[in-house]
Amino acid sequence: MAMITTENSVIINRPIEEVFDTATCMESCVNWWTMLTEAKKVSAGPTGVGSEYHHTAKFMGVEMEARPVITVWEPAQRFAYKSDTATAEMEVAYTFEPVDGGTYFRSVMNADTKDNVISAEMLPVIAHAMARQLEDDMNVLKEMMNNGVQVKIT
Amino acid sequence: MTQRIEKSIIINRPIEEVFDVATCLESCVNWQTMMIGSEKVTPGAKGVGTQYKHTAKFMGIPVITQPVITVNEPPHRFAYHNQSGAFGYEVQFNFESVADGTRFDAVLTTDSASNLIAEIAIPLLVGAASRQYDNDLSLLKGMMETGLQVKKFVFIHLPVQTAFCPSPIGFIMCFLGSNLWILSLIPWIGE
Repeated sequence: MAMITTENSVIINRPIEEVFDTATCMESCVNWWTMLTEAKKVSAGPTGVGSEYHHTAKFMGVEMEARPVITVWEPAQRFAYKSDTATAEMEVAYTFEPVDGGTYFRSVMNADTKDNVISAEMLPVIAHAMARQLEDDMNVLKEMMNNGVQVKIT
Repeated sequence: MTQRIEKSIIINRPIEEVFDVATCLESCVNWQTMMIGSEKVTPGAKGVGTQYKHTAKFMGIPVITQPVITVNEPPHRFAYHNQSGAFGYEVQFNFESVADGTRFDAVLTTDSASNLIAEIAIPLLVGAASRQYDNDLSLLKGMMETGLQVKKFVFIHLPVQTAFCPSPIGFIMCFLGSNLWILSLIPWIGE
């Protein structure tokens, strides 16, 4: 297995409760994660630890499915989920902190690739592409929220 | 309101190969992250006048466009435009042999003068699209320089399968998924 770790952060000019509410919605993420094509909640009840989702993504021309499960749910400061896909086991952790002018939103993703799935030559390409994409997606969220564009699916 | 995006990247591959891959308006689904569907809608060989249907998703909004090739001068110049949908755009590609491979220049021009909604949203979209295009060009470079198959409908798709398919069964399923056109050979084989 090979570990890919990416860390990204952004300051969004909105209150922490609103940023947490929007950024942690695992259905609305289809609106700011560029590679995500579908997202829906598959478990019943309110959102919390154990809530499960079904995500479909397309990256480098390949369609992939994932079933992320929330593992940390502490509004409005901490959030995390894990996701087991065909190519990797992923853990993503978000932290939120009020700062002057808005909210500091930090994302850390650890992806543990599965044996014989991703070739050694491709790993740096995929890791670099994913890091750039995550950084860009967080900036998309920032610009949408700063400009009053509706992100959350109501 | 006219907006212009200019990007440039050097890909360490021969100019003919870069032109062939980058100008395939079906294979772009493999390296343009926001693209979720692409198909050629006019018959015959690719050339000036060839039309495509592209489906993209950006900021949660699905966008369908119908690009048409306006310049096709292998392996140096290529252009297409879209006049359907919410806003029109024109894309120009230029390719030049350099010491490290091929310099690939892309210029995207949008014009939303006739559409008020597009005019309001375009600055926001263009900023995000510009960054996205940077990512996508880097992705194309990485895929081509590591020998990953970018063009669609190619019989041997091994690097993609070894990259993404977790098991022998998954390998076969991926192979079939990316090479379903093989089934179209069956009537021909029977003749």
